[in-house]
Amino acid sequence: MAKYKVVVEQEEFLIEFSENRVQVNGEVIEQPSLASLNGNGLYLLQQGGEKQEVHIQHQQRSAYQITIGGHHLTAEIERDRGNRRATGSLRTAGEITAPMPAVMVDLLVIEGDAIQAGQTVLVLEAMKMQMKISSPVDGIVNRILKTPGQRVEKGEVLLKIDMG
Amino acid sequence: MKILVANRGEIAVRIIRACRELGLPSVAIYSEADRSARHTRLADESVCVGPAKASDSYMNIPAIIKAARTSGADAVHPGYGFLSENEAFARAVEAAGLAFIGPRPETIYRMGNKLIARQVAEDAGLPVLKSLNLELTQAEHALAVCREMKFPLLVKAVSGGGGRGIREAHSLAELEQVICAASEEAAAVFGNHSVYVEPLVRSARHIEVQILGDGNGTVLVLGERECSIQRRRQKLVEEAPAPGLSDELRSAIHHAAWQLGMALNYRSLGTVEFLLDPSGNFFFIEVNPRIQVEHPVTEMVTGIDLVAAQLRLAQSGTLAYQQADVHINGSAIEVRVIAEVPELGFIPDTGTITELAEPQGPGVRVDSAMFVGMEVTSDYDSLLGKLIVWGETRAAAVRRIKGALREFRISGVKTDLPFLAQIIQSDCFLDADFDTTYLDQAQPALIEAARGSHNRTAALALALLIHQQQTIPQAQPAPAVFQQAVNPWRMAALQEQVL
Repeated sequence: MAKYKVVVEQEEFLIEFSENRVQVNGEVIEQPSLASLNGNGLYLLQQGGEKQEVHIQHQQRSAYQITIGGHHLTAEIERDRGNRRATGSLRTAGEITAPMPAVMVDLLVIEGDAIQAGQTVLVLEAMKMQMKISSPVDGIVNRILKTPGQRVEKGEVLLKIDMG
Repeated sequence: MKILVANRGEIAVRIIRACRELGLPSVAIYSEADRSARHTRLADESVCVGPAKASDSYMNIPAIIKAARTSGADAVHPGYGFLSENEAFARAVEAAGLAFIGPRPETIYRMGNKLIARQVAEDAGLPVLKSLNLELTQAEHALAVCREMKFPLLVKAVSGGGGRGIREAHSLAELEQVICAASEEAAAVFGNHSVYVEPLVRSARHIEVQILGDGNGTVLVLGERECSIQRRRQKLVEEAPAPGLSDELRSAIHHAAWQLGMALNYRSLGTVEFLLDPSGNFFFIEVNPRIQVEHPVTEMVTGIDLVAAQLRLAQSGTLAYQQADVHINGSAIEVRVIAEVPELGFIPDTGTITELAEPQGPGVRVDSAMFVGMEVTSDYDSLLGKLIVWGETRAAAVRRIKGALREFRISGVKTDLPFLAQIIQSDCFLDADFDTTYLDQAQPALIEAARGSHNRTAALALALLIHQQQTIPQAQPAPAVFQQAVNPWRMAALQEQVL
């Protein structure tokens, strides 16, 4: 039996493979299959009578980019060995990362603040456009890693949230 | 006739293809960031005109003129954007003894200044929104004269265009601040801080007419396009013909565009843009004196290659068509594929394209400059390409583009593809029941719907892949067949078995 924790676009899934069944978030699903189509990251996923072409590209360590239909998604995976400490390297839903190279122009929270999902926590500016970045989850601001005026790179962690 | 293409991206590729079909040698220009770009490779020759920054390369007039001279080009096609509506560039091209493939420089000047353009249109008998034909540079002055006008108002840049430099003012109280902001933006973007005001037409549709003139007294009307699906005044979905117009209204709009074309003794391609209000009144907005992003929908329904028509005109001085040759057949829809993140307010995305599948099939056309390995940077516009379909009827075109969107796969950057699919599937689009504010209202729901259940599927696929790699490391993911030299027959056979 093997368990994996996968975070796709900040949404978390627990996937379990055992002898003859597969569970997603505790729900048993029809046996899926994944076949390589070209050795270049393109796969055919078949599950429950549906076929879907999926492109999976390894980024670094546990990070992947996945394309399904027109959707281009970022994902991280780790084997869940039932040991809570082992989940260190995985970026979890409790992090806010920069969606593109930008400059942080405003920070609306301080460490220790209680925040709600959807609440704007900081403002980035890139290509003369300002974007409000909101929290994907409820929680407490645990750490702030950047200050207004600083440049941030795509994917860089800006803020960590303790989800209790 | 040798053509220098003063542009990049999909439109440069489009123009180079037309050159090749007509047997005309082409010269691409490129910036240091575009050494391996598709247009750079596709042209017969290519010349580097400067560093990545557009103002130092694709907008560097002396460098482009020099490239035209050294390559021995006879004519310059500016495409859209960059220098396409720059009067000084058109003059510089002509001063160098080359043909400018587009309208005469004075037409570009007159249409570039929105107040002059309005005046020309009014004189030609076109309906123009009642407005103060005043260049407003001082807010106090504006407040005095706008007291008489009905709000909401639009504050527009005199040298603006393409939907940029436009702001709304909902009351006299906020007008001063709006004028100041619009004026600042106009100065930064267009180099002219003058603005003017006109009434905001509510629930308006954006209808535009394609004209083609020979600069010698003949102007053809090549039908109209509907471009009301806009985000922040930027078009996202365009179609031809415009659905739901009565024959009378359609011919009245065509005739208005033709009148303006005649008044300008128009040369080459131009688009006359109108606002259509719910009671069927239409008003002139502006002229785009160049090829447009959405030109393919007109090509699909008329069967006329617009770029080839421009090139032939520049070559021979005459048009190969007469008005009687122009017939509208079926329906065409275009969507703009843009590297951006809809969930984050449509901010542009950057990255390297790692996999690409462009849709194919009858009536499906993709104008793009994408390739696997292409870097999408923030140096240039985030338009990656366009998907255009033709169908015998609008309903057939809608079905076709739905299928084509399903096949379109771009890995490496986030795009608006899922969002576009939601627009196409929306009831408002199916019923052609929309105006220019549709997307602003429907956006949150469409973004939410576009998210769908793909996260779960992606998670499952990734977990399966890692699980397979860990449990049977030798068997996956590359079976022996792939380790041999690539053999397309074996590849096809294998895929068929798998499928």
